[in-house]
Amino acid sequence: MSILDKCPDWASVVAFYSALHFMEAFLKKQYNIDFQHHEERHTFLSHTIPRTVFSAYYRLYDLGFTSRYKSTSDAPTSEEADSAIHFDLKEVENFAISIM
Amino acid sequence: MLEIAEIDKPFRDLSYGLLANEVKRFGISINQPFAVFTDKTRLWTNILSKAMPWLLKTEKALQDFRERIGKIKNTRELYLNIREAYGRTPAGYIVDIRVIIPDSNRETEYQVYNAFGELLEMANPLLFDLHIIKLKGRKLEEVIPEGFWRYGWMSDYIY
Repeated sequence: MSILDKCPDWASVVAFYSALHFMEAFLKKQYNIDFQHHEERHTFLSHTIPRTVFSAYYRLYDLGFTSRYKSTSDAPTSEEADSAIHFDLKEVENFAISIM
Repeated sequence: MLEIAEIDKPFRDLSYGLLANEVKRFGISINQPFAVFTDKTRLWTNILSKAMPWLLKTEKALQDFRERIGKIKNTRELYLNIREAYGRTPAGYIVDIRVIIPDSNRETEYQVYNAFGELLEMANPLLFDLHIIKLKGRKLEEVIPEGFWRYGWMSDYIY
């Protein structure tokens, strides 16, 4: 059994924080800017990155939030965690690396 | 089971209420130029007059967002809440949004996040936070967090 089947919630959290580091690196390099709060970061990202990358990043944020703060019935499934890692995180990673 | 408060068009009602109050105050100031306003009245007038432009901007942004969400297949409902965020935004509040969908669907979720990106871009510097709730066979009352209210209907809302 893979980690995605065993702990899809924690896999989603790790995927989100990986994406967060990519975005922080992008924001630092391109704009020399740091954000303390997610909401401010999201507003800034909404007009500085392509919409597809924004949606990929936001999905990771949402799945990570659900994993940490919501009930187990809301927790991401292994399919969701899988798509978060192999599609959403990949999208964010490719964008950040292409800029840096 | 949570009780869900249904408040239709809260921002619009509030905006209109505040506008009506402004007009009334203007009328009073003409007819009674020496009317005494207490410190509390001044304080509230000051707060409300500062908040008014942000409330109107919030309402417009949310109306546009609701229209976009309503066009996305499989989106069920839109719920809102407001929390204080003093010093982080000129409005002094953050609007929390919950969009309900029946189940996990990456394509639908991307459409919702796309619309949310548009909202953030349009409503800058206002702050919003969005989360999608997947019903997964549960009833709405079981998944809506306490304190949230429904923002109109997606398809058959009567204005």
